[in-house]
Amino acid sequence: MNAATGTARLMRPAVVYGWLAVLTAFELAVVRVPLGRGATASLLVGSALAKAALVVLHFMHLRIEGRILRAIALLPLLLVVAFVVALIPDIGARR
Amino acid sequence: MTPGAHPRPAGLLARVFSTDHKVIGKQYLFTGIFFLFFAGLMALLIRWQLAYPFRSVPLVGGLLFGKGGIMGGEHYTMLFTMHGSLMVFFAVTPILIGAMGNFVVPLQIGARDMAYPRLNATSYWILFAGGLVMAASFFVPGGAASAGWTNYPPLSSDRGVTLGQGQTLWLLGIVLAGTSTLLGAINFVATILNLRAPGMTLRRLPLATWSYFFTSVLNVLWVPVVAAALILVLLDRVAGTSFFLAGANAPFEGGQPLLYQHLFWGFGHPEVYILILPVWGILSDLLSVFSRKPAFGYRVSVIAMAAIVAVSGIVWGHHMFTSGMSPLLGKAFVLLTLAVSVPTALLFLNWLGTLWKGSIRFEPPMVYALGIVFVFAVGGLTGVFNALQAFDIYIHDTYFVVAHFHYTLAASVFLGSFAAISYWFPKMFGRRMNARLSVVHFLLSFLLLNVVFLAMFRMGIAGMPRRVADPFVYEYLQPMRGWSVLAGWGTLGLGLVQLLFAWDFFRSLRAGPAAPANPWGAATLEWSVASPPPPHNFERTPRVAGGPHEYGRPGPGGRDWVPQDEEVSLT
Amino acid sequence: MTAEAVDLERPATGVASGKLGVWIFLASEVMFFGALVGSYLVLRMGSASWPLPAATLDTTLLGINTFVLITSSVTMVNAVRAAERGDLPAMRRSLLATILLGGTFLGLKAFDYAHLVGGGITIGSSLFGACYFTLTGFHGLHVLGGLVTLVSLLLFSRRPAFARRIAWIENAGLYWHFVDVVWIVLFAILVLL
Repeated sequence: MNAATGTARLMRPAVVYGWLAVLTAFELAVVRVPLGRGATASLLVGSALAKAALVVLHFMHLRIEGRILRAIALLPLLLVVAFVVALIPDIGARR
Repeated sequence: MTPGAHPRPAGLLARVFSTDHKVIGKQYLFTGIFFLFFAGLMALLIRWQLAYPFRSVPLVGGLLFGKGGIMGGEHYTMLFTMHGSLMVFFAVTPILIGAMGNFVVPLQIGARDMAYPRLNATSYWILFAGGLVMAASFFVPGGAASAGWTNYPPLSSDRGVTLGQGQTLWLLGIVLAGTSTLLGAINFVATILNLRAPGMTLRRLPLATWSYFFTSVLNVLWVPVVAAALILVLLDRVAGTSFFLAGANAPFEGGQPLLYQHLFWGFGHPEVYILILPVWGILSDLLSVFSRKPAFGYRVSVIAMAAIVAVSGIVWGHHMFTSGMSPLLGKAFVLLTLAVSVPTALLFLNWLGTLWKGSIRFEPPMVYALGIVFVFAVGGLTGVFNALQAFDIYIHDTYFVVAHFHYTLAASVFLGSFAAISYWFPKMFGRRMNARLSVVHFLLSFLLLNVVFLAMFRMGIAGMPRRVADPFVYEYLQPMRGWSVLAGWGTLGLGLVQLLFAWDFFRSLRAGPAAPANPWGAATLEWSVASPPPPHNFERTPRVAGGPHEYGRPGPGGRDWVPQDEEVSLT
Repeated sequence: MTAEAVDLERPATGVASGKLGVWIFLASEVMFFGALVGSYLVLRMGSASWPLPAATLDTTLLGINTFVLITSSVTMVNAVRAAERGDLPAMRRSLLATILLGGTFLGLKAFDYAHLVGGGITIGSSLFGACYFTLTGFHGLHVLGGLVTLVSLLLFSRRPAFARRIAWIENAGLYWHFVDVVWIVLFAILVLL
């Protein structure tokens, strides 16, 4: 199993946990400060992506996995983003 | 036998709930044939109604529609809804993917079974449950689903006001079928990636197996999307939400019916490739076997299929040109749709290249295969028309579209299923079907399906709308009555011809002559084992030494092919 | 050597079949949640009004719940590492902690639902209610599925056959972390945004 040899390249779980906690606290703080919709949304989405990446790369070991698993993880993400963007002119911009 | 391998089927229970991919493949086959027959009978009733609107249905009318035997408009709506849904999800998918994929893929890659045998059995039984739900939906108050196989809201999500509980059961049945397909697809992808025998590199995979890989990738990606859409419709029907309801009927503001169409066709367009890719893959291999030539442009074929998979996910809007979709999206979808015809044309040219100057053997599988090449050429060209927004607005929701997808998809898939069954029947059951009957079956089927579907094209050009119980209430369609009667009798003939196949199939199961291990002189691995294969497929894991299409190469004993697991000597 | 032994020991991709299957399954889950979340996003963009979630939801409670789920991911990592070391007692302790944390998440979720319904927000009251209950509901069902899996593995780990199935812990962990990721996304764009 490559997890045993590659775990050195992963962040220690406690460190990941610390970052996840800090980012969650950051999110809870952001919504309590009046920044405007755009800024709040960007910060929240950015923070959520960072947290998701931490879990996927370090807890799910994607950082040390081979190309096949990376491709399997990446493909649906790209499709979902493309799909939602394609829906914006039709559904999102309809009021 | 190692611990953890298949236990030998001991009792009836172990045989019924088998985890052997070959047994599961046969279960899918018989289930699919049952629903093909069932949904085919519905097609007969539909064509009767269109040929002779609101005239008493002979023989079965009284039984089905009560006194007088006249079908009502509501019956007609249920029939075309269930015909489409059952054909797509319970006949074609089980036969081509469930049966043929399950049986063939592990054998072709030199594996003992699928990657997850228990999951494989689970997939089948989930489909079985879905089939029961669909069958039950005919007997609930209000009758079966009647919102079309596309199930558009607000009609489909209307809370039991116009449509009965059959609509809710339909959602459940389709979600079950989708779950079955999805679990099966995960199994195929993992099996093809992981269980290839030593030497079976990706470049040595038979094109049929490649097509199952691509089809399964599409299933893994897009079935969840339609599942999400159908679950939201279900919630709209039973839980009081209104994701897809708008206006006075909606309990709250903000729902959008058009969103459903995007989600549905986001899956729906890949779905046509899901159904037809296996046909293309099988066809590519069959043409090679029966032309005794390597498949022309093997790598191009694989790349073309990959390109189709990639593009198929971003063309769904061509089903929605008349939906009031944003014009910005419309133009993009026209261009992307036209782009699909490039890889498709490459595949087609490769088939012609394989046939070119081959030593063609007109065995039954080849005859079916040549039929597919023809219907796909004609049907594919009509697809280019549909892709053009200006033309589509005229023919949208007419019989031209119905004819297009029946001629391209249904006819290809129908002939493809017969090609696959007649090709692998000896391997599956260890017996041979009657070649002469198969050829007669092909010739009559081919003739009649052209009669039926070309008549439908003609009516479509005249502007006959689909999904109308009596289109002849429109004065301008009166001249089309003759064509509709022709299509009706053509369908009856087509149905009767299938009895010929059914008779041959079931008779050969018991009484066909015993089949040798390799009746066609084919090079792929499934033909290197006995017919039918032993429970664990291969006594020893095969070592693959060559490509899948080594035909036209002289070998020992006057043989003109090199099996995939044989080293080629250069002397 | 039998064919099956070859299949299991030398997967052609180098990735064990179980793990590969879980990742393919998760790809389909991404599409499923992607369709649901995407529908929510575009419906919300196209809707004339939207209640400010911070004013409607108990963000403190849901924030605590986020910490609970993140913590359960860490205990799951510990369980996988203990399993790989062969330290079964430590693995069982970590699994139990994960299960208790997952149960806590669902308990707090039920409290959150009761609070909302008490305030007149239900799945049928508004587009917000419909999206909130549907998305968090499907996430909750996935947590429940994960809990059933983990409890079964905990019980199974007492049996001798478990020794050959150590990889199942890693595979269950992948699923558990994925469910955590879904919540991380939902928390930011559904609860807080």
